[in-house]
Amino acid sequence: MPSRYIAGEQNLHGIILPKADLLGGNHWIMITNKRFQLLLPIRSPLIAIASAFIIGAMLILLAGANPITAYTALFQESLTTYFGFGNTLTKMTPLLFTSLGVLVALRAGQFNIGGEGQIYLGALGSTLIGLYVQGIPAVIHIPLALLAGFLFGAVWGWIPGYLKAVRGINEVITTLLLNYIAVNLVSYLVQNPLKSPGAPSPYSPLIAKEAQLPIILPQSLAHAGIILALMAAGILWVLLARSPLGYQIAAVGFNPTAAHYARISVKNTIMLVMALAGGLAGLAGASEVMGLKYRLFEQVSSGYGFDAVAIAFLSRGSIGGVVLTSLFFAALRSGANVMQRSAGVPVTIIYAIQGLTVLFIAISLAVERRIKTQTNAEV
Amino acid sequence: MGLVLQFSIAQNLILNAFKSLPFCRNFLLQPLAIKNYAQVVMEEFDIRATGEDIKVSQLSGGNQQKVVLARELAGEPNLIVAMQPTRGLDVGAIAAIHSRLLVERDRGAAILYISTELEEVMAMSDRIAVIYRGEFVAILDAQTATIEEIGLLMAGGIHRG
Repeated sequence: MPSRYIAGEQNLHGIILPKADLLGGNHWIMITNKRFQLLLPIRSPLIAIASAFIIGAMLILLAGANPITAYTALFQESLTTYFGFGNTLTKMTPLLFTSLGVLVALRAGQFNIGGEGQIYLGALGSTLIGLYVQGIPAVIHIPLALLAGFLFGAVWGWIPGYLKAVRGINEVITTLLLNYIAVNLVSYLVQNPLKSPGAPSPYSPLIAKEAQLPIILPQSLAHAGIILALMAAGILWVLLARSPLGYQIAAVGFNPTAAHYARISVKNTIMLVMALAGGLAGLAGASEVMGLKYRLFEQVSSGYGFDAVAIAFLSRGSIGGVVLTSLFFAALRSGANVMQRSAGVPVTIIYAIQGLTVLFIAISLAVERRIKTQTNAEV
Repeated sequence: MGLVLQFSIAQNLILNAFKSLPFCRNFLLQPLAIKNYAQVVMEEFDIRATGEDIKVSQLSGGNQQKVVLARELAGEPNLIVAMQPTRGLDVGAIAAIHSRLLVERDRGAAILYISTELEEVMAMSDRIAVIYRGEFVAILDAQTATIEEIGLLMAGGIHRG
């Protein structure tokens, strides 16, 4: 349509132009030219984060503190000091694993908000191997415990995948509800059969020394889990970008009908992807037990599974983006307490900033969809 | 539509064969082989775009249809069911698709061509079958059939011979 191109050329700066639609009303739509569209993926998360921080600054002012001092405290310790950075890496590990799981499911068009439950199951699986398998060397014990964590999480991811693929049940509901089952299952187990004898509160005995992940920054909390998570990110990148399976997953995610006509099994792809997603989140749980706590507690995860959804959306399907965004969210988590101590700003401000980031990214996605449907309607 | 609109031309062209040689080797996709193949096919089928890495969503309807055609004909099928393959396309694209299908006919493929355009049916066919109330009422020789005859049959008239 010539009119569309003229509008695009007149509007090299991506300015909002009024445009009469078919119904006669004036719709304000943003015309984007090609150069601008290329920037969109990088631009909108940054805008979302920046907007969240600006509104966060207002909240901090309301709380009676100086936003600059607060933000400095927030990032200075968590990113520039040895122990703070170690702490950040520790929090980044489960976030990265779980967001990779959300991301891979998203590639196949599946919305996995069951990261939380998959983390709990993964933690349970590796705890069982850590407790009941004794006396084998670490080179075997660690991979075995990780594998158990992966498999337990994978089962928890496969269940909604199966229900979606075979029974047509919405995976948003099943992944969400399975979270509660997982949390309560672990809670029951650590209060009863797995409870450490004579323990004052519900937790399991220590796992075997051989199943514990080594510390990578001496004296800090940072453990080898972060290396595993980064390796998982690398492997997943190769899988999604270079392997036929990645191609298959993307084809199913974008157009299941076309994939079906090309003799790709949409059902198997969905089940496989959900199992993989659950397995990655399971590794998050496994690394929490094996690297950080060395035993199973009632509370394995403090909402990592939900932060992961935000991280995956914020990074818009890019694996590099997921690594950076998990680091960012981890820094927020680890810096929050410092901010409270040194600037007197309540930790809850950080939750507000995280929530606002999610809100702004949702807005940018909605705006983008609007642009897309508008341009499609014009063709 | 049988296309993955978010994929590039090259990615769409290999949708039926992405798991086999030469596109996939040692469990990895071979970008170079895919790129070379796509360039050859784009030349052969006259798919007009600046490169094989352009997303098919950015192509015109005619070029999109040529991508589908190129992909489906790559396996040298013996039977082709073409359901309104030229609907909504411009004249040039229609001619390109017609001539390509005739090439396939000459190769020996059986083609079932379904269309609402009578002129198109008459130009393309060797034999024309007319359906009325869900049944074949006549199978005519395209050389001798006339528009009036087909029109009568479509409306339920009785076949004279």
